[in-house]
Amino acid sequence: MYIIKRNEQHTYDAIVVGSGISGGWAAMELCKKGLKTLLLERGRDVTHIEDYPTAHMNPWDFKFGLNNTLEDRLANPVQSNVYSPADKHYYVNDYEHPYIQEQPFNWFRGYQVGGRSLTWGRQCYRLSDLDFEANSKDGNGVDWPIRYKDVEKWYDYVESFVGVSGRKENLKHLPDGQFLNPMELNCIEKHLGESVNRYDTSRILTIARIANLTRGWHSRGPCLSRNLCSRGCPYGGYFSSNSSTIPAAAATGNLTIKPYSIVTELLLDENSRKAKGVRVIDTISNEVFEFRSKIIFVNASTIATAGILLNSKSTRFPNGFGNDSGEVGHNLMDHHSSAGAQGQHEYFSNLYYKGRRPCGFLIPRFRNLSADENHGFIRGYNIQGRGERLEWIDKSRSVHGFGKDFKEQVITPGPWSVWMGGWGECLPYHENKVILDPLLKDKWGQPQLRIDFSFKKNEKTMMNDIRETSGEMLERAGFKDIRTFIYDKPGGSTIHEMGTARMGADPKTSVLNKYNQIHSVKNVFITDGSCMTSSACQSPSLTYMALTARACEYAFLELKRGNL
Amino acid sequence: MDRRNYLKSVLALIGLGIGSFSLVKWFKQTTPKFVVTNRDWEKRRSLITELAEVIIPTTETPGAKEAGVGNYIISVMSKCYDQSQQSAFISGLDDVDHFTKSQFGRLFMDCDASSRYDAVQHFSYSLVESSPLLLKIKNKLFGKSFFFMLRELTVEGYCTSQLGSTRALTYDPVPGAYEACISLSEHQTSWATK
Repeated sequence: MYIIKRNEQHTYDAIVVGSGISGGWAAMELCKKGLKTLLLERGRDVTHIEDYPTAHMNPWDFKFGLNNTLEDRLANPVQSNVYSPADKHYYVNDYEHPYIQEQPFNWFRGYQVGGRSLTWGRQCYRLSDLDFEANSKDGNGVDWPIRYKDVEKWYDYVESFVGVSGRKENLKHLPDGQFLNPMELNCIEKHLGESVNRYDTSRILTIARIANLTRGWHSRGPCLSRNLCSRGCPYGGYFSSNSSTIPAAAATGNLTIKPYSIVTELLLDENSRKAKGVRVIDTISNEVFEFRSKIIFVNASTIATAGILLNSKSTRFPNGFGNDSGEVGHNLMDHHSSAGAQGQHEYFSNLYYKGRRPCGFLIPRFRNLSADENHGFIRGYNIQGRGERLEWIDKSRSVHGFGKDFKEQVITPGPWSVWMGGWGECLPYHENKVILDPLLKDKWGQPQLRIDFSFKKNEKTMMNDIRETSGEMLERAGFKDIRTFIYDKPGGSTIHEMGTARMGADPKTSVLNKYNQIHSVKNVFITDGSCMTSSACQSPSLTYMALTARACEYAFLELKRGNL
Repeated sequence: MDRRNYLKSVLALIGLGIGSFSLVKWFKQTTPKFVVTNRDWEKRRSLITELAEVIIPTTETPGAKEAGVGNYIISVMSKCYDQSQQSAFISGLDDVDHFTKSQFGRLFMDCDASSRYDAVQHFSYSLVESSPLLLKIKNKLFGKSFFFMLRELTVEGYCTSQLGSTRALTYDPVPGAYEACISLSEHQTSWATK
C-alpha cells in the first residue's frame, strides 16, 4: 500500500525528513499552518495503539523472559545492548543498517514512524543562559546565536502540548516550565533530598520532569504507572510522535505520510540557490523518486542528517549541502552517563509504594554555576536517580542460601536502595565527527557512515567528580553498602547525539543560523539534534521540539513574505 | 565503599583465586569442553526441575516445579547462553550426580528430600557469598559458577512465571496512579514487576 505510484502527487508545500520527535513536531506545525506537508520516514509505519504488539504482554508471555537470545545478540551487537524482547521491534537490525566505528560508538536507531520518540527516556528539561552562554564564556566551539529569551515562549508552547509533569523549583539555571502536577518522590528519595540540601543548600533533589501525564491531556493519558513505556503506551500515557504530533498533523487533512522512503539527497536548484526537493529510495520497490517542495525540514536525527547533507553534492556544494563552513558532521556530542553511586538504607522498612513510577528523581546541576569555582573541569552535570526497595531480581544475586527461607526473602521487599548517575555535558570537539565512508555502501548503494568519537579529559575529570560526589551524598544520608562506579560506556550510549550541523552567527564556522535555517540555502531548516551548538547537560529532546516549533513559525512567515 | 576496602576486596580475591580457584580450573570453566546439544538438556530436564524445586520449594505458595521453572531454565540456557556457559552448566549438573553418588550411593533424582537438600547445600557452599563485590569480581573473572547460574535462573524463572508472579508475588498489571508511600502490610509480598 505504500509503494509510491508514478502518477501521484510529487509536489508539496513542505517536506519533512524523519518522523521522530522533532520531525513529528515539524509536520504538525506546518500542517496546522495550512501547508500541504509530506512526511518521509525511512522505516515502516507504526500506528498508535494498533502497532504496540507487546504492550499488554505479561512477564510469562516472553519465552526467554526479557533475555535476548545469543543468536539475536550476535546478529545485533549494538542494538541488543539497549533492547529486550519487549521492545526489540522498535530498533533497527545492525546487519541491515551497518555503520563503521572508528572508536566504539553505540548508534542506537529506530527506523519506523515515530523513530525513537517511542522509546525515549521522556525527561524534559529547559536549557538556560548558563548553557547558551557557555561556549562564548569559555571559548569552546562557537557561540549560540540565541539566548533563553528567544526560546522561552517556545518551551511554554511545546510543553503545553506535550504535557510535562514536574515541580517548580525557581532555579535560574533550570527554568521551570508549564507543568502538570508532579509525580511523587518516595520516602527514601525525600530522605536523600533533605540530606543533600542540608549539607549544601545549592543542591536540591526534585522529581524528574517527564512527558508522562498525571492527568488526561489532549485526549491522551493519564499515565497508569505501568512503566512499560518503551513498548508503546496503549493509554497514550506519554508523548511520542505516534500518540501526539502525527495524529494532530493528520487531523488537519494536510499531511501525507510516506514510510519506507529513504531520503538520500537534498536537491539544489543551481539557479535560485534554493533546495528544490529531495531524492528518495522507495525501499519496497527499490525505485528512486524525487519530491518537490517550497521548504524542507531535515529531522533525520543527528548522525543521519549529517549523512544526508554530506551525500548531497553539487557544483555549488562539492563538500556537501550547505557545507561552506566544513563543519557538517563535526562537533558530534553525546552526554556521558557512566559515573555514579548506589547504596542501601536501613530506614523505612515498614513503607512501600504502589505502582511503577515511570521516572526517578533529578538533582539539578550544582557545579560551576559561577565562574569562580574550580573542580578541574568546566561545565557540569545533573544527577538522575531512583529510589526503590530491592526486589527478587537483586536478591537472586545477593541473598544467601536456598530453600524455604530463601524463597521467603526473595518474594518480600528488601531494603530501600538508591541508584544515581550523572548526566554530564560533553564539549563540542571538532575531531568528534561523522563522515561518509569513501568505499563501503549499504544495501541501497548509499555510503556507510563512519563515526569517530571519544570523550576527552574534561568529561573524564567530570566523571570522577560525579562518582565522588554521588558516593558522598549517599554516605551523608546514612546509606550503607555504598558502591561508586564509572561504567566504561562508549559514546552514543546515552542516545543524546548532537551537534553535527551546528547553529551559529557566522556562516564560516556554523551550518545553521539562529532560526535553524541553512546559512546558504534559506529554504532548508534543520531542527533535530544536529543543530545543537553545545550539549548542556539536560536531556535535549524538549529543546529540539521548542526549536522546531520556533523554526516552523519563522519558515511559514518567511514563505508568506515571499522570502523563501 | 572506599578505595581501601575496595583494594582489600581485590587482594582477598587474589588470595582466594590462588587458594581455591586454580588457573587450570578457570581455563576449564571458560573453555567449552564439549558442544552442548538439545539432547544434553533433554536428558537433564527432570534433574534441573528438581534442583530448582529445592531452591524454591513448594510452601503455602507454589514451588519452582509447579511454576515450570525447569523448562524456563532450559529455554534460556540453551538459547541465551554461549557454549562455554552451557557446558559449564552441564558439567555442574553432572557434578551434582557425582556428588550424590559418592555421598549417598545414588543419583540426585533417586535421593530422598533430605539428601537432595544436603547436595544443594554442598554446592551452595562453593559460592563465595561473603561480599557482593567479591562475587561480582569472581563472576567477571571466572564466569558465573554453576550454582550461581542455577539459582539466578531459578529465581528469574519463578518470579516471571504466571504462578510465581500472581500467587507468590503481587502482580498489578495496570496500577493506576502511583502511590509513593504506603504502609507495608503484614505478609505483603513484593510487586512482581518494576
